[in-house]
Amino acid sequence: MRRLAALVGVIALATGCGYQSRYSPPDGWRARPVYSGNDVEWVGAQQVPRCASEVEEESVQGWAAPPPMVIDERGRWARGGVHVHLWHVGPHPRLHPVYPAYGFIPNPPGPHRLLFPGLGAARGGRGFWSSSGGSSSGGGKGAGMVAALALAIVVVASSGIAVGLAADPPEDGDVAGSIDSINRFNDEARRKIAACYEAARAAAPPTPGAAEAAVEVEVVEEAGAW
Amino acid sequence: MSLRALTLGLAVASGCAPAMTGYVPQHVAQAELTLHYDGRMRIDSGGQPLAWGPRYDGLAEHVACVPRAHEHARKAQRMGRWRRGLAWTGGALGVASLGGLSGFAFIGSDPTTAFTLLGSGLGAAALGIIMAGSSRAAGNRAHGNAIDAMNFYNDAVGSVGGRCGARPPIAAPSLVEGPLVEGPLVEGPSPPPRAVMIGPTRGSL
Repeated sequence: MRRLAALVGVIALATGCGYQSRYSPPDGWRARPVYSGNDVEWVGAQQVPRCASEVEEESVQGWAAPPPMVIDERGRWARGGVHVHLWHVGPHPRLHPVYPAYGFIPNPPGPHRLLFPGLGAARGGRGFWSSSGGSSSGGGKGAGMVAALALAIVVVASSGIAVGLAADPPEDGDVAGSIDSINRFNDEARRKIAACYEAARAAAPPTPGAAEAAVEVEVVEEAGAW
Repeated sequence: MSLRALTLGLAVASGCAPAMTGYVPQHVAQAELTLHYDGRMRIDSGGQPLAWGPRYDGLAEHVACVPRAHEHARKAQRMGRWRRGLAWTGGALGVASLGGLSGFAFIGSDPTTAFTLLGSGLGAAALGIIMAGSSRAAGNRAHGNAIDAMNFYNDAVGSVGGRCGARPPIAAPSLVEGPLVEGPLVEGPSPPPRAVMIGPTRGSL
């Protein structure tokens, strides 16, 4: 049994089987790259968040938010200067809508679909065993030469395959496009969140002399969206 | 010149160069990790190159304060070393197998020697294929583990403006589910004495 498992393992390795990630993205709006098979796939958020003011729904009070992040003067993604306290007001706490004070709709919880399913299908490096059937039509130098030639062709082809497999990178050729898409999306989402946050901060009443301001904001809940 | 560089050079010369990432992320936290591809997988920290695949040297140290990320980063480094070793060995066996063609020199005089040499060449080539194929699997595992490490690190620390400290805290508690630590945020070049400044309470940025 152990030998069989080892054999299966060797065959799987020899065919260049891909990687299957166990990473599961948490809720949030950030897109993540995940390596699946031999390709980079997009998991996590798929839509740029919306500001609260952009959604006209029932408003409730929210609670618990990750630290506010903004785009600073140098363009970096950094913590905002205002810390926002949120609390829940209602019959009982609900676990789903985490609506931060800085005014954007977080990405609904999972399940997170792959945006480009199928792109990451592992490419099976198929074995290249060509069956060049040698003709065994009696002895003689002619038959020996034919067999030797066939063997030589197989050797040359196998050699090329070995060198090609060794030199060719295992990752799929279009990983760059997937990575660019993810990075571009995250920038776009952060610009949007920063804009929402700035709008929420501007709308909040000023708290003179306080480094942190407790701000109540509206929480927008989309029915069935969480 | 490495095998990768030689391959890339030949690919460029033949007009078959792999696509490279062209977009540079604009809004990145100071020690947040981002993925790029410049013919090799590359992980940047805060916009600066940190580690290249398949070996990802330096990644494990960077994410050392997040245990799961550290574990994946170390696996990535280990798989990257396997990728390189197996690729070189498989490629070398592939080239060496051509030596079996010398059997043709004996095809008229000593067929046994001729077929022994040709058979040896075939065996070497077959072994080369297996090792080269294994190197691809190791490379895939290196990339996969490195990207997982990047994601775990970013979820816990990187994307919320934190970073790991200078000394890797081996016994650091898991930050993924921990409470929000309202500690001082690391600004500028001086890292704090503790490894982790901040962790998200829920969700992630």
